[in-house]
This record gives sequence, structure tokens and C-alpha cells, in this order.
Amino acid sequence: MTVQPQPAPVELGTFVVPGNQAWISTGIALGLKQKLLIEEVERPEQVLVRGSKWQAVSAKGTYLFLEGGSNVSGATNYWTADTFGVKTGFYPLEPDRVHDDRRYPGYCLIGRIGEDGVPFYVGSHFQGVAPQAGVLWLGINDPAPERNRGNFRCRIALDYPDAPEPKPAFTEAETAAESLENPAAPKPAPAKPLAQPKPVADANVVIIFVDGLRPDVVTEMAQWGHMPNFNKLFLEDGAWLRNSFSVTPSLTLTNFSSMITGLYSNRNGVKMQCYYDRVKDEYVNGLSVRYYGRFADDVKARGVKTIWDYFPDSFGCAALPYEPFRPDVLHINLEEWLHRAVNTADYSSNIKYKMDEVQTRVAVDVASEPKVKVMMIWLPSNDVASEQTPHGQFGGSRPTLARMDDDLGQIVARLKNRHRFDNTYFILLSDHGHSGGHDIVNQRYNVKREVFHAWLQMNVVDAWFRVAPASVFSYPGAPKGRLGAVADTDGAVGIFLPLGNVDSGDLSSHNTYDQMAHYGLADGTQANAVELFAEFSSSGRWPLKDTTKRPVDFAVAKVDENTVLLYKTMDRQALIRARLNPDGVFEFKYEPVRRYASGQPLEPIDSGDPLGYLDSEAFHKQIKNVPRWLENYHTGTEWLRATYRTEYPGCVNTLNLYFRWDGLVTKDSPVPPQPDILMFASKGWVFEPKLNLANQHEGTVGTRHGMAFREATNNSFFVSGPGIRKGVIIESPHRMVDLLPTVFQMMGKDPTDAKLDGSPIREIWEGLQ
Amino acid sequence: MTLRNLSIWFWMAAASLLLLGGAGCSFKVVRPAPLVVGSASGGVIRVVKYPAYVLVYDSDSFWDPHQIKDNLIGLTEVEIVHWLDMAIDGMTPGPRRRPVQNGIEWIKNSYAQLPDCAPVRIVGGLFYAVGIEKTTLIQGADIAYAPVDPLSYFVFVRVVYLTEWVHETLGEVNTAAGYLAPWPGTFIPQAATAPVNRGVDWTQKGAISLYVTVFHKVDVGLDITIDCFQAAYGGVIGIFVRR
Repeated sequence: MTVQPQPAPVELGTFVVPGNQAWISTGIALGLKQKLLIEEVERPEQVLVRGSKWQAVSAKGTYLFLEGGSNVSGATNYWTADTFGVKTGFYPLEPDRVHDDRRYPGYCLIGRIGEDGVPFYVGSHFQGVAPQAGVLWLGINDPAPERNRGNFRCRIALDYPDAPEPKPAFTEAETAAESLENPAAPKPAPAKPLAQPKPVADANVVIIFVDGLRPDVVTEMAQWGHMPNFNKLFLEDGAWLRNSFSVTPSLTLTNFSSMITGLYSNRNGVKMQCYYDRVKDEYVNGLSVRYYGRFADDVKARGVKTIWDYFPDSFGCAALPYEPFRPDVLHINLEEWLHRAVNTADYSSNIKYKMDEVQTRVAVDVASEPKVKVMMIWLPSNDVASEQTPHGQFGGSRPTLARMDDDLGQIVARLKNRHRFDNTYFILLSDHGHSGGHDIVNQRYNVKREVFHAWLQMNVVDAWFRVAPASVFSYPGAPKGRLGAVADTDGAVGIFLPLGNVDSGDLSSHNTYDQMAHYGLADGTQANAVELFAEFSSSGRWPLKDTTKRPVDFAVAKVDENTVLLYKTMDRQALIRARLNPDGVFEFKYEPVRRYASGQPLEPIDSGDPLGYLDSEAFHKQIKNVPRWLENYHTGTEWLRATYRTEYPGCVNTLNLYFRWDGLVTKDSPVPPQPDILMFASKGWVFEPKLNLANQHEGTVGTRHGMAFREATNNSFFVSGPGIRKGVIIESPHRMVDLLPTVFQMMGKDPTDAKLDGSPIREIWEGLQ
Repeated sequence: MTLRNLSIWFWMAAASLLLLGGAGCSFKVVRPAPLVVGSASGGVIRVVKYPAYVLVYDSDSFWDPHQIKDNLIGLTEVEIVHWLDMAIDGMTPGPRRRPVQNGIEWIKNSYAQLPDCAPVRIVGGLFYAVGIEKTTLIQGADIAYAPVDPLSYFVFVRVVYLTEWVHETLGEVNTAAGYLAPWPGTFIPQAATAPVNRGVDWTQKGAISLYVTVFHKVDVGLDITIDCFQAAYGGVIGIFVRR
């Protein structure tokens, strides 16, 4: 029988937890659901992991480990958990996770109830109820604590004051939606002229664009003490727009385009990251260096103005997902970027692994340049790290986020040093969320094998296939000219089909819905192509009753100039119709139907629509009279307000607008390429081949984006600066296109003349809520 | 044969060896699993057997020719200051500190605390335009080899920045002279200088834009050339593995 160590409290209620012991009993007996408060005391004793002074941690633990030896390799010298030879063994908090894919920080204070209890995270502050009765044990989240030195010191209490009941939610959106659809609602008071925000004179705006950052993750990490700069700047001194959403598909280039133009894709023309250029007969991968600058040229050729056009002599940036080669401010250019990048990452091949560090180094230069008033810094590493670890931002991406906080601190410090901080507005936003990692690990679905090959017997060109001598995933025996294309992967793919039938070889224009509904196959028969892509895999039709296991959430296809069809199954479909109202604003109508066929009478449904609105409690709560709502057309803003608490917030307008082009058409700027079918992945699935033939690696699929549901579309949006409300969470919904008009307002410019799709966000300003 | 000719021959030989050797430095044969096309009822409609594919491209490998090309180009950008920092950091324990670069940043930050006036702006602008701290190893070697040759000091973007410094300095002089003139505003009225300023700005930004565009085109051209070599190499390997 082993005698367990049991420390006496160093003072009443205060315990010392040694860092070199896995567990220690506090001797405090807890009843089931008894209140428990554990707090690290002020000026905590620190634990030196493996006795190294470079590895000092407090009870909150760490996601980062400073290198202790040679410094030649690795620019930041952050190591991950296996730095000190602890590759074997497991972390007590997450024994089933690999070392580099953990949600909880290493070497933090942990607890359990009873000798065999399930460990839980304590960190520097824990407040909750005991999950079971027994004695409280405390320990360190370390697989091999024996060589540690030092200890944690914490205070334990068996009671804490209850938080006040939260006020019932009553948002601007609810008010508006109710008054829209409730004929009995009192008439609104006559409109008064809106008070306008008063931005500070000679303002600067710094936009920190963190690729794929989930708002729930960054706030959780801040709460645990791992994002101190973010916490101070945005949670304590700023406002969080909790219901901000990306446009669909929730991909980087489409959302970046909406961010910098303030327009939806029907007016900026950027539909996908990769596409088949129907005019030039060429597959364009917008994520490759080869096409860097292409999207900027295309947008310019369409006559669309971007943030660098609106602030022509005062916009500065580090590298962006795309940008023109011509700088706005002379010194802030791509040659300088490359120079900084090489000298930060040590060598060119390393730049892609050190992008955040490189971008921050350039950002510090940009912040030092007085001519730059509007600055945009893209930090893409979070997205990459999320895609490369199974649990994404609930795992291996967290060290990247902790480093991002340090990057933010460097930018703020430089602005303070240059006396620019007090008149600077900060916006931290992401282009989209990320799906997976929390409760599910994504699986791959290869639409090329499962549909193109299995049912259409076609060759396919895409972004992932790169096999010499041809870059086409060939169907064995198919004629060379039988070619289709797939744009993008992640959670949304665009399908490009030859006109009319698989052998027409004509990809120069898209198919009409009629053509796709009677699409010619290789054997001379016909099939509904939309149905094939939405409902079939190589094993045949997915079971109709259980749609939860399907990789495809739904497909979208254009029916006519103003209408698209959402196709989940043959019995779960919806039409989205668009029209312009007398004010020139688009309005949309959502009609759930089954078995849509051109020219046939519609068969309405009252449950099971593709976006789930008919069965959504949140939608019914928001829209009191659903049938009446569905009878009418509503603007995109109204739809966003009506659906922002559902699983598919604000999709109705963006899905329709995706298939439109309402911009310039000239010889140099043809109608932007769009696919015949746009497909979205279901939760837990990603459109990516299991066999990655783009390179020789078979990395994990990680968490992804592009999908239409909330997890992938809810983006981070935090604001801080002079006159901005502090420490508030704003519930009213907004979206990506609202960024640019808000920047206009901060810079004292009137966004009205620019005729943007978005609107300035008023609720962030003090006195205007 | 002059030293310059020798240098050209050396680079041409190195590039050829890179393309010929690098293109075939590695490959992987992938044999995709057969595709079984079935019906929902469980029956098999057909089985599709794939040929073996030859992968000769590995975007993540340090030894991929694209990466080697990028790293060679990157070498031309490495600062002397960076190498000094690497050496010092390599010799001292603890986190990387980049002492020389941080020292330079400290000087810049201290300089920025001076009052914002014309002399401070002019001197600061000159230091920025010259950018001594950004001197690369290759340029340093050039200067050491031929210190009196003005071409040793030539860096395209620095020349553009120097023209901008001259331009801004003239602007400062014009503003200062305006205080001595009996009329309000600058010595030469803005109506006259504005179009000139716009023209100079347009030309300077155009020059940078042209530089970046040419650099990008050359880079992409090299990538395409490497791709062609890889495709040819993959084709040859494919002859042997497809059977």
C-alpha cells in the first residue's frame, strides 16, 4: 500500500502543489455538485519544467516552449510539447491525444475528485461544481513531472457568489424582425435623423485579419489567460460582434474579396479560390504563387474598387491573399516584403512555415510608416495549422494562436512607440470559422472518384492532382477530351461540366438547369447531374432517411436568371428567388419544395427544407409568422436578422447572389466564371481526396471551412479604439461586407457614395447603441 | 576569358544541373485502390482499376527543385545583419534575441521620438532610402571586391527610394522658402507643384510595380520550366511503372 502525500495548507485555504508530482491530495472532501473555487494566488510560485529557467510556467500552463539550447534553427524558437524528450507518455488531461494536438495547455494545474476521478482543467482559475463526491486532488498536466522544480500555490474555497441572472436577450434584430412580420405591432415612431459617430481626428485603422479564427476559441484562450494582448485590447477595451458571418462559400478568397470591396460576389466577381476559366480554357488556382496578382487584376478589370483604391496614398499591408503589384505607399511593397520575409524566416522555403512571424515583422515596418493610415495585416498560420491537425483550433493550432497574441502585442507596442496608438482603431477579424475538431474529426470525401469517375466516367482537372506528365485525374479508358473540372476543396466545391453531355468537350459556358437535369452520360443515357452529385457516391444513392452520414450537405444550381435551386435530397429542396425592389435593393424569397422539375407545378413542403429553417426553433422564435414570412420577398439584411440564430445564418441572399453577375461586362472583363453546381460539405466531411496526388504527403485532413453552416461561417469580429464601446458583446448580426463601410466611418469618410452592399456598424460606438 | 564571363558560365551550368538533376531527384509511385461502383442494393456494377501514377513533385520537400530555386533566389536577399544575428544567437543560450537587428530597431525608435520637423524628416528619410542595415551578403561582397565601382552599390529599389528622398527634400525646401516669400503658402505655388508631384509619385510607384512584375514573371517562368522537366521525367519513369 502506498502512502499518498498530503500537504497541509500553508495558510487557511491556501495550498502548495509541487510541480514534480503527478498528483497530490488536498484532503478536502467534496460532496456531489458542491461549489468549488480554485484560484492561483497572487505572485505565484512558478514551476520550472525539467528544471529549465527558460520553461517557467504558472498554473495556467503554456502552449509555448522556448528553446533552451542552440538558436540557429527556427525563427521563433517555440517548441512544442515533445521538446524535452517526453514524446512517450501522455498528458493526464487528454490521454487520447497526440502531443501536438491538444486543447489544454501543457503543465497547467489540473484537478480530479477522488483517486480515480477524471482529470479536469483548473489553470489559474476554476469555478464550478464537483462532478462527483470525494477528495479533491490537484496535479500538473505533465506526462513526466519528476524533473520539474518549483510549485503552484492556490487558494481553495467551497463557495463563491453566484453570478447575477443574465438579462433576457432583446436585440435590435429581434425588434426589427417582429415589427416586420407582426401586423399588430405598434407603428414605429417617425424616424429621427440618426446620430453619427464621431471618430477621432487623424485616425488610423489597423485591420488584423487572422485566417479562420474561431471566435469561441480565441475567447476561451483569452479567458484561460493565454491571449493577454487580445484580452486587453478587444475584450476589456473593445467590443465583440458575436454574430458576424462570412459570405458563402466560407472560403478565404471569396470572403477576403467581400472584406476589401464591401460587395457580395455578384458585384466583385470572386466566386471561388480556384476555378476553370471558361474563356481562357485554363484551370486557375488562386492559392498558388503562379496566379498571385491575378485576382487583383480581375477585380480591377471589372471596375470594382477595393480598400487600396479607396485609400490610394495611405493604405499599407503585409502580403495579402491577393493584391496588386503596384504599392499605395512607395516603401510598403512586395520587394520589401520578400526581403523582410527571407530575413525573418532565414530562407525562402521556411517562409510558409513562419508566415505569421514574417507578416508581423512587416507589420511593424508598416506601423512605423507615418504615411500609412489604413493598414491590413493578414496572419494566415492559424488556418494552415488548423488544417493540419485533427482537432484544429481545439488542438494543434493553439500554439499558433498563442503566438498570434504575441504578434498583436508587437504591433500595438510599435504604434505606442510611434505615438499613434491613441488615435488608432483596431479591428481583428477572420474570414470564416472552422468546422470540426471539437467533437468530431473530419473525414475526406473524394468527389472526383465518387461521382466524376463512378457515374460520369470523366477525366477531371482540379487543384490537388499534379501527376506528371498530365495534371488530370484520368478515368481509365476515357477519351482525353472528356474533361470536367472541380474548383476548390475544403467544404465547398464548384463543379464544371461540359455543355449538355460528358463528351461535348465544351466548357466555355455553363449548363442550364434543364441541361443538367437531362445530362448526357458516356453510355448515351441521361441522368440528373445535380442529383448525382448531391445524392450519389460510388456505392449508389445515399440512404434517403438518414442524411446525417452524407458527405454532401446540399448542392446549389442556377435555375434561371433570378433563381437558384438548393438540392439536399429529391424531397428536400428549396428555390431562392431574387428581385430588385423599387429602391434598387435585392430582395429574396425562399420556397421549400420537393422534386423540383422545370415547367412542372411546385410541390411545397412544410418541413425538412435544406437550410432547416422550417424546423428551426430559433427561426420560429425570430419570425413569429413563418408562412407569411415565406410568402414574401425580404432583403439580405432582413434574412440575416431572421436566420442569425439558426444553423444556416444569412445564407439565402449569398447563395442566390453567388450565381449572379451584376457588374461590368467588357471584352477585357467577361462574366466571371462560375460553376454549374456548387456543393457544400456536411458536418464532419471535407471534399478532399484520401490519396493526395498533389504531393507526396498524406497529412491529416484537419478542420476546414467553406461549408454553409454556422460553425464554418461565424467569423471573429472584434473592434477597439477611441469612442468604441468597451467590454461589450454586441448581439445584432453583421457580416463581412460591413467591414469596409465601418473603416470608412472610422476614417471620417462617408460610405454612401461608394454604394457598397455593407453598412457601417453603428452599435460599436459609444452613445449610439 | 574575363571574370564576368566565368561567372555567367558558372550560373548557367548551375542552373542546368539544377534542372536536370533536381527534376529527377525523387519520385514516388502511387497505386490508387480500385474503384468499386455499386448500387444501393449492394450489387457491383463495375470495378475501375487505376494505373500507377508517378509523383515527381513534392511541394514540402526542401530538395524539390522549386524549393531549391526559391532558396537560391532568397540567398540574394539575406542581410549581413541577419547572418551576424544568427551567429551571435547561435553562440548564446536561451531564446533567440537578434541583438543587431533589435539594436537597429532601438535606434530607429529612439530617432522617432525626436520632434517632427524638416531636418529630422530629411535625415531620417536619407537613412531609410540608403538602408545600410539592409545590405545583403552578396552586395557586401560586391562592395568589398570593387569598392570604387558605383555599380557595386546599385540596388534598384534603393535608387527609387533615393529619388523619392530628393523629391521630398525639395518639397521641404519649397515649404521652408515659402516662409521667406511675401506670398502665403509654399515658395513655388502648389498649383504648379501638384501635377509634378503626382507625376513623380506615379513614376516611382510604376518603377516598383514594374520591378515586382518582372521578378514575378521570371519566377513563374522558372517554375514552369522546372514543371516541364519534371513532367518529362515523370513520363519516362511512367513507361516503366505503368505495366
